Amino acid sequence: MNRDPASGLSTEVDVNLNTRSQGLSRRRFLQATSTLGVVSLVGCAKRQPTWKQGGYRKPDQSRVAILKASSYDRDLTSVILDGIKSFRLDVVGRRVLLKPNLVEYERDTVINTHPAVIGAAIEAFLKLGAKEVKVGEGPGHRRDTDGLLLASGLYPFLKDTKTQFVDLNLDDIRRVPLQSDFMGIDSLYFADTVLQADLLVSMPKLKTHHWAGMTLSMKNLFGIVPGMKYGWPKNFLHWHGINESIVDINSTIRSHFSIVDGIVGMEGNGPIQGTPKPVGVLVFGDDPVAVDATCARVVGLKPERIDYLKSAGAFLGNLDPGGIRQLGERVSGVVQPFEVIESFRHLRI
Amino acid sequence: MRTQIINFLLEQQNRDGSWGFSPAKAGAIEPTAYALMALASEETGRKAVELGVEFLRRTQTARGAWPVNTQDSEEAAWATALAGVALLGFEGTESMCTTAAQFVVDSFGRHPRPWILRLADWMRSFDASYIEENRGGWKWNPATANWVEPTSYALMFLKKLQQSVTNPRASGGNAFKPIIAEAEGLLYQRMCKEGGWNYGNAQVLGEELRPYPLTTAVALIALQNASNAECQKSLGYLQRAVREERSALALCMVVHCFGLYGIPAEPWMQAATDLYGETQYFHNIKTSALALLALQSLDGKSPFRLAS
Repeated sequence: MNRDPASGLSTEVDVNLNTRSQGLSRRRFLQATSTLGVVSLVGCAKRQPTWKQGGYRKPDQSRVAILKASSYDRDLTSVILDGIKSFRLDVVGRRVLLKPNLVEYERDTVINTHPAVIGAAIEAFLKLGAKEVKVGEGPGHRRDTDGLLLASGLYPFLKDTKTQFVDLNLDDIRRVPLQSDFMGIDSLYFADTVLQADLLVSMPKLKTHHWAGMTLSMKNLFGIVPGMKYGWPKNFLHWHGINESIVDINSTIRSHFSIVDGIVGMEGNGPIQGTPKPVGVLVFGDDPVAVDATCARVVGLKPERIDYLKSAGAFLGNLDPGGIRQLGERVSGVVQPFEVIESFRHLRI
Repeated sequence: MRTQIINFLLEQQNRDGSWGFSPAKAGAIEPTAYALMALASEETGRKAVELGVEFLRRTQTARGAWPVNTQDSEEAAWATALAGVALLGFEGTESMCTTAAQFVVDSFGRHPRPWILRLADWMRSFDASYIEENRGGWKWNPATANWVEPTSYALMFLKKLQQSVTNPRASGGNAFKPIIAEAEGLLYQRMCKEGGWNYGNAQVLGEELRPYPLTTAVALIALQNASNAECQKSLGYLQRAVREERSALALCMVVHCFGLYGIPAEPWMQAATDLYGETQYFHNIKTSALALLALQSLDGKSPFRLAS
């Protein structure tokens, strides 16, 4: 696999664009041919990823609930309570960790899970009898998490509800053997607070992602991998493949529930520089593969063409619509096709 | 605030002499290094400093390095560099610093590239317009890319050590000069268009990315070159961006940076102090130690200051 020197990410797209748009100088010809050579070599030698046979019990039937929520100003706690109650989720007396997506802060953008959604989820889980609710995140780019909490507007919600925030980048860490082998390594460190939680709730933003296609409840778990160990950005995961890392992390640490903030999503060049796109939904589910597949369909993309979902659908959860029972709104009733960058046009339905 | 932070740091020291990132967490090298730097000049911190230095002495590996925290076993160059900067402030640590520097130097490298791409690089080098893009620096993890922060920490340590008259290896003067020059070149290469740095990508997919105040301050501290046009451009960015900054961590690092470049920093120390009243820095030990260092820097003291 050819890597961008800075990000460690595949650069096949860049090279192809360069050669097409600017003509073939000697230098660009050499760049392109060397890249193709590597891609071919790696392609021939590609390893077959494995997972523990019998180690997973993919549900016969998963359930995903889509509930309408037109804006962040309305009573989101009752919507989230309705969403959670659609599932037989055991909350009473349990320690709940909410894992939102809090990557960056830039004014007038929709990069992060909206603080009103996080605040409403805190209230909902407490109302349902949770022993404690914490919010934890390990931002991928920035080390000044204190500034993110303040600038994003999350801090007042945490303060009002006396909720503890854990910077998962700086938490105690524990090495955990991986339960599948897509990255080609045997273990990863994870933040200890995640491992101690009884109920891990992934709360992503509904966004496109310029390397993975979409970033949803499964990609959101990159934030439980500690930056203290793997850096800012978590370049170690990029070098082992973003799609591969998503699958291995989720096969090892299962989020028990997902709440996707799709009230306003991000289309185009996500996850940072995309454009706000109102969708007006919150999506709930206890199978992250089914939740992500449903979200992809809501934004007009084919989940079976998204690499990490294709892999995860083979053993972790349900990808096929036949294996997903839809609660609340029907997908067809809320579809809002998202713009995607050129390299992901093939994902469109 | 100064007394409250000193007391907080003294109370939060672990029994083994280390500090974690927050209360009751396992000892980590980064907050330990900053706490040592901050308490070094505080009379009431003497005993804690002795314990902290002893912790570092006890946990340094045979290769001169430290892992990121006591729960990790893999040596990390960036953490080692920060421990080195802290230890340079204390007597009797010369051999620890020398072996740490050797580890940091050995960890210097370019991006790992497959042989076929290295061959392509070599072929491209015959092109007169070719610019070497794969410059050496430091990584968060072995076998990944070089980034701004780890490269900056390593530069801070090696440049300080090079100036240290007590260090026999560095007293020769220019032992680290070639890799320092290349690593500084990497930082300049990664600078954002408007000046300043983020984690280390100025562009992704052709789109310009924005710099961050925190990483800009860290890189400028490492470079400490007021006569350089790119440093001046980045200082310009930082002076604009700091007005809207809400992170105490970033503000404290900016105060430190401005102090090294002779820019008045009192308003930003005040902003950091106001945030302390609001959040107590979320009980973050690294941020608290950096706040104490920032206060000390207003008096002209800095463990990062290089001789001109």
